[in-house]
Amino acid sequence: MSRSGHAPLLGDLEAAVMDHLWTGGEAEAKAVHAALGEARGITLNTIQSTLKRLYEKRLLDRDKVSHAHVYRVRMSREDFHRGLLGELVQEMWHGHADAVVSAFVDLAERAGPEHLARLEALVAERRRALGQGRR
Amino acid sequence: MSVVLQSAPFFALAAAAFMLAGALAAGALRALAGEALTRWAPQARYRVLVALSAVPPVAACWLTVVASVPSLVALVDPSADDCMSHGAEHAHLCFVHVPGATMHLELIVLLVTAAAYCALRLADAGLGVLRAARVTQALVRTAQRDEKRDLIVIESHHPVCFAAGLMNPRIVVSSGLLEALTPEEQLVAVAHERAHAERRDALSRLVVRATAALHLPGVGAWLRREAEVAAEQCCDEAAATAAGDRLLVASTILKVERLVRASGTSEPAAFADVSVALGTCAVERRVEALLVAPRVEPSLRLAGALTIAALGAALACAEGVHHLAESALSRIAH
Repeated sequence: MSRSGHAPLLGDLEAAVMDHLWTGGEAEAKAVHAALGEARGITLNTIQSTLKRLYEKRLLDRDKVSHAHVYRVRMSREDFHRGLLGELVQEMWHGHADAVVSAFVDLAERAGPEHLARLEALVAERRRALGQGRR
Repeated sequence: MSVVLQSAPFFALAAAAFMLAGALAAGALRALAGEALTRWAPQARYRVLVALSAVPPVAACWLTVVASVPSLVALVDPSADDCMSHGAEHAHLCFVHVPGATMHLELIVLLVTAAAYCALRLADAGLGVLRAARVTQALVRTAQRDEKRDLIVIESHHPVCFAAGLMNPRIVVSSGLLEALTPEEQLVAVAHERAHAERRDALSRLVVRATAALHLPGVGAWLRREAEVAAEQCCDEAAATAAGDRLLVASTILKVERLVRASGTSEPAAFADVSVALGTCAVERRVEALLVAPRVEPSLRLAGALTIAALGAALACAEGVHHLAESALSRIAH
C-alpha cells in the first residue's frame, strides 16, 4: 500500500520493470535496462528514474552495492494483486467499479448459506430427474 | 443581453419539466408492467430496461426541441411568428423575442443549484470510475497472460473472474479460481465473461447508471438492479450455449458463490445478509432461470415502431407542445 492508503497504480514501463523483478529477482538499473530498455529504445536514465519512482511508491527496496543501487521487490506479485483486488471490491461497494468490471458472481453481494443449500438441492434434483429421463 | 441568454432559464426549466414528465411516465410504466417484464426473456428485458432508463433524458431533449420548433420556424419565416399573440408577461420559449418578464430569482437559484449538484455527483462518480479503471489496468499490466485462452491470470487465491474495461474488455481470472474449478467449469466462467465483453455490458451499465439517476428514486434503483440481473442472465445463456449444459452453468455459479463466500473476497461482509434479506439476490434468480428451459425472446419491433411513432406524433404537435409548455412555464416561473 502507498502512503495514501490506495494500492499503487503502475504505468506500462513500471509494470514491465516490476514484472522483470518479480520474475528474475533483484537487479541493478543496468541489468534492467539490458533486459527491457534496449528493446524499447529507452535510455538507462529512464530506467533509473522508473526504479526510483517504484522505490518511492514503496514497491521496491534498494541497497547500495559499490556505486550502484540494487533493487528488489518489497511485496510478491500475489500481495500486490491482493491490494488491487481489495481496492476494486471497495470501488464496487461504492458502485464505481461496476462501470468497468463485470464479475462472474457479484463481489458486493452474497447469497445466504440457506439459499445456496436450497439452490444446490434444486440443481441436484434437476440433474437426477434428467438422468432418469435419459434411462 | 442576447435573446438566447435571456430565454435560457425558460428553456432549462422546460427541459427540467419534460424530464420530470418522462420520469413520471417511466414510473407509471414500471408500476403497470414492471412485474410482467421480470418474466420476459433476458435479452428483450435488457433492451426494454435500457430504453426505459433513457426515457427522462430523451423526453427532456426531444420535447425541448419539439417545443422550440415554432420559434425556429419564426426565425426562418417571420410571418409565422405568433409570439405577440399572447401578453408580454407570458413566458417565452423563443429565439426571436426577449422574454417580457424575467423568471423568479428563487427558481433560477433552484435550477442552478440542481445543475451544480448533478455536475458534482457526475464528477464524483467519474473520478471513482477513473480510479477503478486505473486499478483494473494495473491488474492487467502486471498479470500473466494465458495466450491460448486469451485470459489475464492474476496471482491470487481469491476466486475472482471478471471482464475488465469499457471499450476493449479483457477477461481476468485469478489463479485461485482456475485451481478450484474443473476444466468444464472454467469454460463456463470464461464463456460468461466473454459474453459480457462482447456485449460491452460495462459500457451500457455506465449509461444505465447515469440515466437511472434521473428517475424517481425507487424507479432508478429498480432499473439499475433489473438491468444488471438481465445482463447476467444473458451471459448465463451464452455460457449455457457454449457448454451445452444449463445445469453446469447453474452449479458453477453456486460453486463460485461458495468459494467467494469462503474466501472473504467480498467485504464488508456485514452487508451481505442485508441484500439476501431483501430477497433480491441475483444468484438466486440466475440459478432458478437456468433450471428451466430458456424463454423465447419476444420481438421488440412493435415497441420500437410505437416509440418512433410517439416521437413523430410529438413533433407533429409541435405548436401544441410549444404553447402548452409556455402556459405551464408562465404559471410556474412568474
